[in-house]
Amino acid sequence: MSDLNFSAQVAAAQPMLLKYATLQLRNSAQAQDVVSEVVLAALEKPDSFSGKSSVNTWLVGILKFKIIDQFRRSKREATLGAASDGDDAHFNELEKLMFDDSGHGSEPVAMWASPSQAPDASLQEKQFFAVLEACVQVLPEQQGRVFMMREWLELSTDDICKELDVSASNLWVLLHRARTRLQVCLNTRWFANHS
Amino acid sequence: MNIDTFKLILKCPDSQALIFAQEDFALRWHQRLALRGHLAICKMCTRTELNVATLRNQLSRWRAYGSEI
Repeated sequence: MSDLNFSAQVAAAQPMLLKYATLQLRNSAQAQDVVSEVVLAALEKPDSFSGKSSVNTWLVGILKFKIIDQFRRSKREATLGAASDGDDAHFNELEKLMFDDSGHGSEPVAMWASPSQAPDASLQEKQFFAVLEACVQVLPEQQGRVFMMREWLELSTDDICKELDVSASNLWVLLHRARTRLQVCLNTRWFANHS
Repeated sequence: MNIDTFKLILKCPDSQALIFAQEDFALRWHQRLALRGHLAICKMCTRTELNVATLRNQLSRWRAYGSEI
């Protein structure tokens, strides 16, 4: 691959890198800094790209390492104090809407149809992923951050607890709330119309 | 419901908490037992468990998607 072609691909990947960095870090300034570091690292050492994967896949790999570095640099800011994220009341309200007084679901649960098995799977998935990212974006900050660490950075729960100095019990609560909110959001914004 | 709760008879909110939790944590024996017992009699939570599996598959595809475009 020519240097010019490589540089163009790195430049073209920036919006994608910035989207994931912002979803993970919840701070646009930090996200831009991290993406700049990724781009600089890639352009300074193009020889480290072996060509075994696509340029984008390689850049996302670098981005994940840089984001973990960023967490370590700003550990104090990233540390999660309480598991509640200040949203105990909001979450209780949400559960009241989901379940009746006897603890049973207040509405029937629709079976979700997988977008990857739809006849127009490619288009459906592209649209679904946009909705998924929108739903992750509106999660409360701490819940969104741990969800992305788990699902996008693919860190183990032990590693997340170490990186953020939280107990397993706190992480349980944060991930439970994140996954519940995501389920409700996806139900409303996607699966209600695609199941 | 939290990571240490010991309950053998679950209501749907507890069951759903465990369904989500098993995506991230290894459930304890009593939690697995209680969840299987609840799922055997609750259609809604069984659907939720299947939906969580659908989402798990889509999240895996989403991780790959961003770097493919």
